[in-house]
Amino acid sequence: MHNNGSNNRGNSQNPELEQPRIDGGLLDDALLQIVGRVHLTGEDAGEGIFAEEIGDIRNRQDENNLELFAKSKRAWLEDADKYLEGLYGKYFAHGSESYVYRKNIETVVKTRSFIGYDTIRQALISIKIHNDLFPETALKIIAFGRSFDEFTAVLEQKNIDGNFAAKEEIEAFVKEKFKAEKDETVIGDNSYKTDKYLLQDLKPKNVLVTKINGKKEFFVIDGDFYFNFNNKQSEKKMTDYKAERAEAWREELRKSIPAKDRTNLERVEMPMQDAVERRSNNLEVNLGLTEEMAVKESHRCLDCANPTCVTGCPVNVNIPKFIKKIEAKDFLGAAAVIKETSTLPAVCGRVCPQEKQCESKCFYTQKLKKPAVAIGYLERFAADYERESGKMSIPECEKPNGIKVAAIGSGPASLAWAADMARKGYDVTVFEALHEIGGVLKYGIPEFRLPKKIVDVEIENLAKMGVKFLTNTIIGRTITLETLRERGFKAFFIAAGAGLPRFMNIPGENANGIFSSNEYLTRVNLMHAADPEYDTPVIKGKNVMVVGGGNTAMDSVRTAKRLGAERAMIVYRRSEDEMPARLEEVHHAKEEGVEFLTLNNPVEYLANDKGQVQQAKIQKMELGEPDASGRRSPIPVEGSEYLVDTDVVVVAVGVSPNPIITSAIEGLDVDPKRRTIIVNPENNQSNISDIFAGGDIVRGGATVILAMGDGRKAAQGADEYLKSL
Amino acid sequence: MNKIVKKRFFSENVVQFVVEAPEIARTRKAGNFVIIRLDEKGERVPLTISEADIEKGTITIVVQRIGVSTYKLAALNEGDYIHDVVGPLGHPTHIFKAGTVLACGGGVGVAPLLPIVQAFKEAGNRVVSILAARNKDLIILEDEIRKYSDEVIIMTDDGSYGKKGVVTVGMEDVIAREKVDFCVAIGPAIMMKFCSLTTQKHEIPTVVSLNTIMVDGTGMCGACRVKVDGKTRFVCVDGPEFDAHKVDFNEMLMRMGAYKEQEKEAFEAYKNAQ
Repeated sequence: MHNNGSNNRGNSQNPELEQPRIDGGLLDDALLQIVGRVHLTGEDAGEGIFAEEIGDIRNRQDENNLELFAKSKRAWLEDADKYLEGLYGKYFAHGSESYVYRKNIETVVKTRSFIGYDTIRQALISIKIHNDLFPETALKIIAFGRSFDEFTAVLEQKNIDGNFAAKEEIEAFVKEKFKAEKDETVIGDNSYKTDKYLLQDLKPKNVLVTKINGKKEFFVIDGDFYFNFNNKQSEKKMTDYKAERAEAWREELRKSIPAKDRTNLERVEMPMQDAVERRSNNLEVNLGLTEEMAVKESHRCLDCANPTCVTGCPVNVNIPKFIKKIEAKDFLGAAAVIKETSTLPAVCGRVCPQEKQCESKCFYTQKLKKPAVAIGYLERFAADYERESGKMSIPECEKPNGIKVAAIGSGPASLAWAADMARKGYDVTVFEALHEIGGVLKYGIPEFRLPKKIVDVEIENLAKMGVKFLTNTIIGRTITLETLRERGFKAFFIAAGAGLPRFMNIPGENANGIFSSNEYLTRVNLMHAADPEYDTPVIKGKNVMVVGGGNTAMDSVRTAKRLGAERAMIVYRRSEDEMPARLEEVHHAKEEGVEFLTLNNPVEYLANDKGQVQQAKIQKMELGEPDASGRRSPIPVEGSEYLVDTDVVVVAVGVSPNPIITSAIEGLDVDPKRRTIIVNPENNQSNISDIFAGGDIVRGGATVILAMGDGRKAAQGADEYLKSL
Repeated sequence: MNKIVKKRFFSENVVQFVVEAPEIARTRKAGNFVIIRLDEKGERVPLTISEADIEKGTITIVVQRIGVSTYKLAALNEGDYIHDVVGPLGHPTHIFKAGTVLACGGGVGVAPLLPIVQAFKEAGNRVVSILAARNKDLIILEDEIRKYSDEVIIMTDDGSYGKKGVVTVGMEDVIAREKVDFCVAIGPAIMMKFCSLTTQKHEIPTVVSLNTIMVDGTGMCGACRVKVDGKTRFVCVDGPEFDAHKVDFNEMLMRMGAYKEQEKEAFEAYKNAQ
């Protein structure tokens, strides 16, 4: 690493490109030294912002605040590997790199980052999006990346076969093995070729097409800028979308209604249960679109030449195609299109944060500044239609190859993996620690948001495809992985989830009546504690306080309402704008009478002599300077503490990966801090070649769709691995 | 579904079950526990494994009737099935050569103590076991404990068997007459608390096996959290055994009473329905 304060911020590689003023023009360059950068990875595809957002952060820092900024980020700076994910990276696109300035600060920040497939892909997508709309920004993004004179120095990773490697290592590696193919071609993947700036301005010195792990890999080596990406079968190329778009039926549909008429249509409203009524039942809130509504909504989709919505989907569902199938009233066909890439459409249609994914990239959102096409509702419609039609197609499976493989955990990642592996002809067994299959879909997400029968139908379909399910089996405890190997299992997919709840470690938190959201939701969802027929109890509070602002917090507080809470509160330390929950969940919660105490944070709980929580001491917060995530960070207001009566508190401030499986496998590479399994982002393979992993045990707490995407990627990886044996 | 192959009453309220669970029998170690669910509507109940037979593929559990689930369990017979049995859970006991080990079992806690006594004996320790209960009927597994102990002391509250007095009286006697290097105490929380206070006084390292409320038993819910050395730990994945002198027993006792009212109500409803 040589990031110890180089003064050179010049763009020596490419003088013709004007370097963006990442300091926003407020800082005197001479006073500053760049001492490192931080790689920020979002928990989803990010907001499609890249250089601009980084610039934004800089812009908000005037000179006086700079030191404060750096100091307030000390914890962040001192964090050993400077690798931020989730919360921090949420509002950044994958792969953003952030400078850490040095000015009268003693800490020399050591940074490290990796350039992974996702990173580059996101960067390229970002470039591509901007290329069409804001070519100057696209140029800036490229320049932004190129301006890092230490860019490669941070590539300290050891795995040359993956896409982590130091510059020297890559060069040596490339020199030794792929000399013959050097300069062979220019960025081979056409899906990224439309970006004229990319090709034109990168002027790659060397573009290599090479084979690693039996896969075609592309290295673009351009001074400090390394791209490594490959063709992924699971991800359609933009060119394919174009070809399909050119099909006659699509053209005809497009012509049938003028675009102007389409854009004049209002977005459909989801029919739902009455807010008062639903508080006393556990039935699904959203009732689903009628056929008529779905078709009407499908008319809004313009079938864009450049379907940016697809880039917002972590598994790249062919969105325009399925919507146009709905327009053509071929609902089963629509479901089939979604199922080309998504394993659990009825689930994803209900629980995906569409407003941050596909719908945020919709033409309506991006250009027309109108409500997006209701992609999520339409997905749900197609999936529900198929299920209710009784004509649910069971995917065709290849001839059984007799090779035994195992998924550990039975949540969305595993179900997706099992489905793909079964399709490829493998003999799949899914091992689950709990007594029910489905993981978080069963114990976590409440019935009113995701009816369990929908999950069960998906599981039944997998069973029909030959997938075996074994409950009450903890791999690493009941059966070790080694025993499974002895019993003939050839590959493993670990997706045991993020099953370790976090607490805030504040006084009184162990009082009775204070639950983790996991416990509260498990008791109610999995154990049916609210049903008197069942033995498991739950404390039904009168004044229920839920701490947190994510989906789990919303699920908990709305559950409390349904259990009869007179007052159900969300206590969240930031403001509503920063809440990570799906917008719809926040709306629903409000309709149901949930109070939102934002900019509030519990600091202590007070209990009676029986140890039952009675009150929470709450401190008010105010928003300070933006933090690493670009969100203004909450700062406690001294002396603002007040007491709130509460008899049930649900702590929903996040989860960590479950340690049982990782600690039971010797030699498995686990992030020492986050306890997540480290995998090659290309194929989700761990450092042990027959072990793949995905979902929250890799990501540390993400979404159903990302978990599912991991499952699919890992299935591809496992298949390639098994075929290479 | 796990078949009950053998049932034996130790007393009116204490029942031993031998249950088919071949995988668990193979991998369990002293100190591990299982979680059972009686039927589709049952709750998840943690129970420590007292013995296992790898060849027969069975594990042995001992349960005391105290609430709805344990009453329902005790009502099952040989040939019946327990809907779910999952395990082995928790860290196994750290077995080592300490010298003289004082093993204290209170009531039904003698069942989980048994494999630990056996393991310490097999590791070459001198093992002095104290079995304590309210009365003679509640003393269980005496013969089995004797098999692996150099000496067994029986204590009953009412003096109906062995010596009259609580477990700590027996402990003090042993500590007074010989050097004790290590102590294991398993039983009701209150008993473990006083065992711990006793050995703390004499500076004898002690572990206790905690039996808190649990749901999943795999670290997922945090229902079982206890404060150990000022830090919140999960009994299911960090325990169940902890350094007794660092456990906050008062908080643990308080937490174990979290559902007292619901349990009482449910139990009354259950009794009325019988």
